Amino acid sequence: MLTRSVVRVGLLIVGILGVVACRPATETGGTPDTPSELIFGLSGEPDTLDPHATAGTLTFQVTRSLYDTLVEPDRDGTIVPALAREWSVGEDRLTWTFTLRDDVLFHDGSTLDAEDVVASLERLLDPELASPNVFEYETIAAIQAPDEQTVVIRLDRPHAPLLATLASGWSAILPSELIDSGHDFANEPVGTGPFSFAAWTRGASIELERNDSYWQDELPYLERVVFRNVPEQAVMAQALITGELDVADILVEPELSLVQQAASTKIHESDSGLVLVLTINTRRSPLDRLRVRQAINAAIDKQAVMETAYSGGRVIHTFMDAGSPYYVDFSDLYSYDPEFAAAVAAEIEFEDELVLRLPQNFEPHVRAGELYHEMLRQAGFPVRTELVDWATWLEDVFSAAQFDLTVIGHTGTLDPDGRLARYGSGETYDGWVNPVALAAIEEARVVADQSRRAELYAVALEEMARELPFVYVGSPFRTVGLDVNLEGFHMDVQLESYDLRRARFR
Amino acid sequence: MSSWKATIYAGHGSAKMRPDWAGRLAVALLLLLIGIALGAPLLFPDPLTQRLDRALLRPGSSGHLLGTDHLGRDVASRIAHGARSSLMAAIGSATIAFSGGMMLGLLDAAGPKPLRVTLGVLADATLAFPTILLAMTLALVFGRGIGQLSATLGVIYIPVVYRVVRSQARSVTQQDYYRISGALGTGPLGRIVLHLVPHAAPHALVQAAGLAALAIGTEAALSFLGMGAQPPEPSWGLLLSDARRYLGQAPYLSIAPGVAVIAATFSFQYSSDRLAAWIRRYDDG
Repeated sequence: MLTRSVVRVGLLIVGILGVVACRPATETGGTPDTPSELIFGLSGEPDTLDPHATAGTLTFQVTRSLYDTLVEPDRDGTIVPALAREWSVGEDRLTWTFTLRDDVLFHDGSTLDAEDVVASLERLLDPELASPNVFEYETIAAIQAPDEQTVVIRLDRPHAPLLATLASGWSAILPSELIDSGHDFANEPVGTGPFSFAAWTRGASIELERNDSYWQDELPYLERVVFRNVPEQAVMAQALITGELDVADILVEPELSLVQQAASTKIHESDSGLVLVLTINTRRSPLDRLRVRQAINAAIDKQAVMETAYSGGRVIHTFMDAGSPYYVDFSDLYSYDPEFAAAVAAEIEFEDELVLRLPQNFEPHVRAGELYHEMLRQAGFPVRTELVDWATWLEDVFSAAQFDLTVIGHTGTLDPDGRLARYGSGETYDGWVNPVALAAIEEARVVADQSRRAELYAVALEEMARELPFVYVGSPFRTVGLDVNLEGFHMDVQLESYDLRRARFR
Repeated sequence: MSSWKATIYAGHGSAKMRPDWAGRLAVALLLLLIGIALGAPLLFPDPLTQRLDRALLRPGSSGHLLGTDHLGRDVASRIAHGARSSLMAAIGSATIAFSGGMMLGLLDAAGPKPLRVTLGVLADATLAFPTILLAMTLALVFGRGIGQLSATLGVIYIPVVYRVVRSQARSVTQQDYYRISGALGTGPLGRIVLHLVPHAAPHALVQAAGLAALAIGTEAALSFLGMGAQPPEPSWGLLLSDARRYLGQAPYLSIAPGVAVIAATFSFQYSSDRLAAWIRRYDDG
């Protein structure tokens, strides 16, 4: 009992210190750091800085500045050349040829060549490394380097999403010499990125320095970037306002309002790749009837849900986020119509209540669930809510499909295949069967031509929008807090990472 | 038995003479609570109706005595309807604990030795588990909801009543009149009904009332953790859980259900204490 109260008092003191430590910055006015040093508040700490060995978002948020990839998404999400100057896909759609830039240096001074790319991809496929992303590379049959500037990737079956995989942070290119010598990339990353690794103080900060020989002329602008570990939301907001931090990685209410009111800060709001849904189990009666699903869809006031449960966002009517190049607007298909919902609900003889199972650990989803429950109840649907913990949700709801209705967000991926794979087959948790959508999604995976892929995904998305295995509700805004003088900051929503190359202080 | 009772009561001799204000308050609160719980559907608006344009209104604003919550629901109505959940958990679990504990305690006192040992070990094992952990585990097995929670708490509380009944009943079986009654031809069941029940029941009732107070707090705690009442059902624990995020903006959301939990717990606990005192006085003659 005594030890417990001592610990609690200790925590209190730390909390007070956190606030007090922030204060002097306001009194002196302005930021204490030099104009070309960026202090970046991250709400957690990466477990490793080895981009091949993890699926953790926090790692990629840091390694994005340390490493480059063969290709990368531009600010619109289109994939453009990076370390590879150009690429081509053979007639058979099985041979991908990349031509590398010849002016790229690693942080250790060695020059990038085809061997580095081969070694990096082979490291990713190495069972000993056991990369959690290895399934994305499983169609690769061989990687060859016919000359210093050329890399040829051979596939055993056509697989269009490979390009997006190569543009993702987990496809970072590492130097082959260090890979061979078993270098500790987890703690001392060496890449070609705009910044090089300087120091990592566990639990506190990761420091990066400008890479003066970066292959993009004049970039980056900043001299130093320090990622500081700030797990407490309130402390993060306070530190941003007082100028201790230049970036706060995620802001939500109620702290968001505080930051919005402060003159020293601005808000960087972008669409997120998340598609928030009310999932309908189409295997179960009466939800197997389209008219019933239409009624449920009509009962939901999407705008109200986005504002009340998800701190604002964009309403969408499709299973694709609005920021994606593959997004199609289906807003004229259905509308919010509680009277239609009530009329349909009155026709149905419900044998049992509809069970709405909510993932308890995600408060916004629980809050959205309460709104759905009431909207459906008002329309005349009998609903019973059940909270489940996250493990149970994954197991019983997502894997075993034990639910009538549930609430979740589907994260974005650079390639639409990551989001859409298997829908229409009846094997996904919504149980939706639609051969047209399934065929389009399967074909788009193997077609290399981008405009043809876009057509196929539009077909699949329209089927999904019409048949409503989900009520698509919206994409929340992704809100980052910035120092008012910081310019050129970019948040890549699909990869959920930050591009700091053009960031600088006014 | 009567010797330690006498020492406790020696210091309280004068207290008996004064009117017992706290006791009256407790009983009044208890009656008020029951009245509100029964009358809630008639006295208050629907606790589920959301008015998103009227969210987070302060107490007293236009027709909302205790304000509205983050979804624009009437807090007063949710507290009044929440009393039903709390009372159901309290009375439901206490009833189960009382009947279960009485039955097992009497069986123990009148039954054969192997039964006595088995029951004793089972009760000790159940009591060794922290109540909340046990209730959470059972909630995982039997599902979540206020009905299941009341039943679970009732079962968990059975050993508490059982032990009281057992010690009371055993003290009677040691008495001469109990043996004589048997020798005079009263059957085992008759002896239980005639001699054991009248002696043990009041003590079991006191325990059960105390457990009811405990159940109110436990129900709130488990609902707070999402293991009891399920949203949007009004329950004090859920109300507190919802209010937690608005502690800075709207502290009244936390205060009202907090006060309700304290008042209900106090009224049950204090009524149980008064009942105990009354029984002791009655025992003393």
